Amino acid sequence: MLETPRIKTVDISAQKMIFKAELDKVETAWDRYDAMQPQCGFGETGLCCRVCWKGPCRIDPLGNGPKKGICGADADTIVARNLLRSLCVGASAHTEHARHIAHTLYALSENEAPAYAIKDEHKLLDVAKRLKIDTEGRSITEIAKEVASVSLEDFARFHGEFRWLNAVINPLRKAKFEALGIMPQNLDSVVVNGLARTHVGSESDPLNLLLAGARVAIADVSTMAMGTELSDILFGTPQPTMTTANLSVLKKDAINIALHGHNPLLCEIVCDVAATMNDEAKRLGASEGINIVGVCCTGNELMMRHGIPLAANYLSQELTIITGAVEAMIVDTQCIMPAVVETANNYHTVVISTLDDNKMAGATHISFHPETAIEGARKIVQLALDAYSRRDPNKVDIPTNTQKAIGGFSYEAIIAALQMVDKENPIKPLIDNIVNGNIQGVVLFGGCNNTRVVHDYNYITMTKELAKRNVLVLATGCAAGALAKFGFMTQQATEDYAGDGLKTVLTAIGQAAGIGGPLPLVLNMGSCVDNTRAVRLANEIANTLGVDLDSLPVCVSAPELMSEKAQIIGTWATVLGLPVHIGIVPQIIGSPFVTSFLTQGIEETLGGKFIVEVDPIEAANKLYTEIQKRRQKLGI
Amino acid sequence: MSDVVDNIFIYTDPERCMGCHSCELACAMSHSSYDFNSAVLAGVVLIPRNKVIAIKNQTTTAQCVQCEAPCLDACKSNCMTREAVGVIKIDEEKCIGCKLCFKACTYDSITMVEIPQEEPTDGKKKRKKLKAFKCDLCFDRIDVDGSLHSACVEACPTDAIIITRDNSYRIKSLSLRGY
Repeated sequence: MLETPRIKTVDISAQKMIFKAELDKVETAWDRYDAMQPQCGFGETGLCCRVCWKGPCRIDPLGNGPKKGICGADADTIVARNLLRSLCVGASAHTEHARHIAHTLYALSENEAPAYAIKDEHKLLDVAKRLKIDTEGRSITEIAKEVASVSLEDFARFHGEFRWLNAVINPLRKAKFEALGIMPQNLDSVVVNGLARTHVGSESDPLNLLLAGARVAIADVSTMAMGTELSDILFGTPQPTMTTANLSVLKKDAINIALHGHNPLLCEIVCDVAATMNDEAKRLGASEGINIVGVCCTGNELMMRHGIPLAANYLSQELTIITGAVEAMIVDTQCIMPAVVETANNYHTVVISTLDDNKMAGATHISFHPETAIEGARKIVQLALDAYSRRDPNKVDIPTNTQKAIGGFSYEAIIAALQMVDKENPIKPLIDNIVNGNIQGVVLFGGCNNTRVVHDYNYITMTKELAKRNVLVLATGCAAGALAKFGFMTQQATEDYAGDGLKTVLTAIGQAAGIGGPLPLVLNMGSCVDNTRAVRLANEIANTLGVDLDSLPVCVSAPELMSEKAQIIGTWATVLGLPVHIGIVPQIIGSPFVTSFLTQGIEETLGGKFIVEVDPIEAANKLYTEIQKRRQKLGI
Repeated sequence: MSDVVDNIFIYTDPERCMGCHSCELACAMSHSSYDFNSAVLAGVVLIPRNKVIAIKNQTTTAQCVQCEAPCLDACKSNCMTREAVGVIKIDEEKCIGCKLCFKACTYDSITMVEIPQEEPTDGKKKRKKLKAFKCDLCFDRIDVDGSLHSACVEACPTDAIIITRDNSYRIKSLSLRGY
C-alpha cells in the first residue's frame, strides 16, 4: 500500500538536513519514530502499571478484559499514580538544576569558584530583598553567601519560612493552597513524598494522588525561580540582544562548537575560554575562528544573555551534527538524545559529556566542577580544535536561510522597556492596554518538540492565529527556539502578523525604548526553567489589580510537549490558576476520573485547567475563548 | 474466492486493538521452542508471523488471510500444504527459501527471513539461507477435537483478535490494509 510520506518538520533548514541524513545513511528521530509504530495503546492511555513485579498489569479500556490490576488498583489509581511519578521526575530535574547553581553561588562566596563572579549585583540585592535577607551595610559576598545558604536550606527545610515559595507565590494563591492543605514544606521531601505515595499498597485515592501532584508542582515553580534568578546573579540578567537562529548559524570556515542541554554553569565558561583560543583556531585554518552555537535550552540561556546564535531546538539537535560542520557537541543535562553519539560517529564530531551524574554512553567524558571550570573548559575546546583536522569537507552542507531574532526579554528587561513609557508605574501601560483591548490577553508558549506532531508547526500556526487577534505572545524553551527559527522574534514579524491593537502597543513601547520600531512579535523569556520570569510578570499585574492569577486573561500553551519537566510546568501553571493548552494527547486518558478532574474539576477549586486540543487552529480558538471569558469576568 | 469461503483465518478488530504488540510476542513464542524469558536471556531473535500495523488512527494486525492460496501453487519444494480446516501451512524444515510463494502472495503476507548460518569451515563464502514464514494459526497446537489455539488470540488483552470463517471479515481485513 502506498502512503504519502508524512511531513516531519516545517523548518526548511531542518528539512534540508533530514534529506541529507537520508543521503548520508544516518538515522534520525523520525526514522526511529516510524520504526516504533504503532505504539502501545496501554502506555498511551496511562493504563500500564509497572509499579511492582507482580505486573506489568494493564487495564482494558474497551473490551471485556481486566478492569483491575492484580493488587486491585483500578484505571483511576494506576493513571494518577503514573502521572504523579512523572511529575516527581520532572520536578527532580529542576531541583538538581537549581541546586547545582545554588552550590556554585555558595562556593563563589567562599572563594572556591574562581571561574565565576557576581555579574549582576543589582539582581542579587533584588533577590535578597524578596528572600527577606538583610542587605544594609553588608558586603556583596556576605549577601551572596546568605542568598545561597537560604536557597540551599529551602531544599530540606522543615522549620520556618519556605523562602523561595513566598518569593514566588502571591498571597491570595497561597491562601488557596493552605485551605486545600497542599502547601509543600521544602523542595526535596515533597518529591520523595510524592514517590512514596506511589509504592505498591500505598495511596490509591486518585484525587489525593493528584493533589500530591499539585503539591509537587507548587514546590517546582519555586525551585525553577531559584534556578533562573541565581543564574541571573552569576551570569547577568538578560537584556534584549540581536542574534540569529536556525541551523544556518553554523559556519563553514569556523570551528563550530554546539552547546546543548540546560545548565548555564558550564557553557558560560566554555564561551569565555573559547574567546581566548580564537587565534589557535585560525592557525589551524579556520579563518573565522571558533563559532559557538546553542542547542535546546543551553542555547536559549546563551542567546538570552550573550546573543549567541541558536542552531536548533529539541528535534533538530541531531541535524546540527548532520550538517557535517560541527567539531564538538558539548552536553550537560536533560533532553540530550542518546542518539547524538551515534550520529556523531558518522562524522568527525566529538560528543563531550560533562556532568558526572549525566554521562552519555559512548561519549567522551570530561568531568566538570565549578572549582576547576576553566581547566575543564580548556580541555573541551581543545578537543574541538583537534576534531577540526578530521572534518571531511565533502560531508559539509550548511543551510543558508539564517533568521534574525531578538532575545533577552527577562522580566527586568520588559519592565525597563515599560519604564520608558511610564517611569513611576511601569506595569500601568501594560494593564491599560489590556483593559482598553489593544492587548486582548497574553499567551505563554513553552514546552518541547514531539515526533507525534510536525516539528514546530503548532507553534508557528498558533502564534500567527493569536497575534492577529491581538494576543501578546511570550515564549520559552523549545517554543522560543521554534519561533526564533521562523523569524517571529523580529520587528518585521510584528509588522506582518500582529493585529492593529497589538501592533500599536508593541510600536509605542519599542519606540519609547529607543529601538527604532516595534518590539518583536514574540518576546523570548528564556530557557524552559525561565518560565517563572513570566510568572513574576503575571503576579505583578495581578498584585497591581488586587486579584489572583485565575482572574487574568493569561493562558499557557505547550502544543508540542513531551518531557516530564514540561508536564510539571504545565501542572504548576494550572495550579497557579491558568488555562494550559497541550497539543499532545496526554497519557492519562485511560482514567475517566483523572481526565475529567484535570480538564474540568480542577477549575472549580484552583481556576486553572488543562485544555487538550491537537489541532492548532482550534487550540488558538479555545485559548482566545478562555481569554474572553476572563475579560468578561473582569468586566473589561 | 469461491473455494476460500470455508477457510479459517485470523481477524483483528481495529476498534479493540490497543497496538500493544502482545500478539506479535505470543506468535513468535508459539513458533519456537523457547519461552519468552529464556529467549530474551539467550539473546535469541524470534520472529512473529503477524505484524501490528497502524492505519490512520487505528491499529490492527496484518497476517495471512488463508485465501485461495496462489502460494500453494507456486511452491515447488512441496513444503506448503492445505490442512483440513483450511489453513495454508509451511513446513519450515523443508522450505528451501526460493521466494516463489513470497512472489505469488497477493497480500504481502509471506515474510522471507534470513536464518543465521555458522561460518563455513572449508573457506567457502558464507551463503544466506532464507525461509518463508507465514501465519498458520498455530496449527501445531490443534486439539484432537480439531479446535485451534492460536497464540495471538489467547494473548490479546482486549479480545480484539478472533479466529473466524466469516468471509466478510476477510474482506474487511484486506480492505483495511489497502487491498
